[in-house]
Amino acid sequence: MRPSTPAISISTKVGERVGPGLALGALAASYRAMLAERLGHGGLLGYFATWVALPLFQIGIVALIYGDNRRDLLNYAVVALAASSSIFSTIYFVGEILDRERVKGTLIGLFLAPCPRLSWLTGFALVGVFEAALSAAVALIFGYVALGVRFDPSWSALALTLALFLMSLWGIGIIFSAIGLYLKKTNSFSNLVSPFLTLLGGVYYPVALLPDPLRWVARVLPLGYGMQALADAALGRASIAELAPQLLPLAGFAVALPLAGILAFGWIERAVRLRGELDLY
Amino acid sequence: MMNAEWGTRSGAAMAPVSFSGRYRHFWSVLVTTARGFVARSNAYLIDVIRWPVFPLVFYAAMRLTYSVSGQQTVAGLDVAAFLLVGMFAFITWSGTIWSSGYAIEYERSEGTIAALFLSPASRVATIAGYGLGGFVWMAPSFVTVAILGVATGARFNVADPLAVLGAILALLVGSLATGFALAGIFILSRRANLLANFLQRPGELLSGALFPRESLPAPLHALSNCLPVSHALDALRASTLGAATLRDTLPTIALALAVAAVYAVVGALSLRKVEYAAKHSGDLDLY
Repeated sequence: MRPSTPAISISTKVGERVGPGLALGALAASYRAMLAERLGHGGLLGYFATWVALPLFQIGIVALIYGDNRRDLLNYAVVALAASSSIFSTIYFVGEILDRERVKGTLIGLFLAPCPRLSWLTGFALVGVFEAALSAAVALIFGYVALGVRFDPSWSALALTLALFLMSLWGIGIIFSAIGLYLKKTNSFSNLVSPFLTLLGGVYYPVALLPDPLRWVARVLPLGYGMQALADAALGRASIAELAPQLLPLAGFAVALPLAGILAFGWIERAVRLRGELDLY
Repeated sequence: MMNAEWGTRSGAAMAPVSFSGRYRHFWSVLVTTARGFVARSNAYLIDVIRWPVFPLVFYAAMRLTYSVSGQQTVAGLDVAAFLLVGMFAFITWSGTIWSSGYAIEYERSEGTIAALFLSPASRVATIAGYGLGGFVWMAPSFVTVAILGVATGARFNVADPLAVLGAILALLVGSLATGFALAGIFILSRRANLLANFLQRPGELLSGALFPRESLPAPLHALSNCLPVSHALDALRASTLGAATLRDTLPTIALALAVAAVYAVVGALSLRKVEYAAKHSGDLDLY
């Protein structure tokens, strides 16, 4: 991703950070600013009510449907619902970053800031990662304590799967963010897309159990591969070799989607320059 | 309900002599608000599409969840039919939160709350207008889910159309009362969006839209009894799927209406509190 517009008019004083130091500083500052904003928006109670209570309700619904008859599916769903918090964070948080900044009137400032765009974008996105991790932890602890789900993880497989899964989601987030900025109705777009990702992403059931036409569509998304691999690695100590049928396509997505995201970001930047304004009105 | 001016008893000059009769004025505010809400909700194509899509796809996801678990019936009813009727309550609950429940918050975020509070328009009519608009707004969702439900095997078993009518009425009245209660609470919380998003899931869980309420643990079952939509949904399922008559469902409908009445009282109190807070802080935006 290219750095911001060369700021010829902005003079860099001696002693100011440049290069990687500047990028890291911008990343940390944007992370702190976004976290403070999120906490300030709903207060600590509201923040935790959202990220702690929501996964409990979702798991509660699945537990009441599967009951004790299908422990295998319930175990899978607990892991998948924990992982799904990162999907919804990708859509509703990362995917809405640019448009949210546009509405706040800070997008122009961010684009013109003399630091790489990737730095503040990543700083903001890391707050989404933090929230998703919190939500996932609550889901897994609830599954363990209240529903008796027992984990038997293969840590190496779990780490590799998680890395590939998050890389894929990061790419999706950047793509959605660009589309959202172009549409200027990001939240509506997120709400339009998210039910399909629930249906086809293997959130409540493994993608392998979907009827044929739906399964074919689900197989062109990274989510089902990621969910299955995470569940197998977390519950059945599946090794990396055993997870190869899931990890190979997921690795492809982990490379292709971030590239597509960078291309989409470039495309939106060109559209911005063509129109001559960042607000895109 | 009194307007801000009337509440101050500042003089007969403020009496609404130039307006139509009280009921006609109420009706006019209600219909105009409903029409405005529907028009604004459908201003963007993406919003026209996304609202019916959500319950439709969610129905499909829940239907598949039951299907992969090997269950063909729930509480003695066919899964497709059980879920289809449950989705009606699900849609109503969502519509309630985002129409009548969010009514005053919409006015606040659009910067029209001061004008609304200072106008002689009844607050009740305004919130009811949003609620009415919400039913129209959600109509495509009801239709698309019904079509998918019937296409996937849902069949109705109606013995008494009056029982169905009574259950639908209870659902709508319960929904309006809930929205009325939420409208004031949302604005007072100053975290309307957060609260609205948060309340969606408990409604889905507790209303029995997706599984029988009897399967809920006792404390949650007790909580579910506190929602008008739960009782209205019980009556709707009994009358549309279980061939229940009006005589059979009357106690459940009465219970739904009684709980709705409590919500209406909560709504009236919270609106009074909103008025007080606005006058006390001297700021109608309630920031």
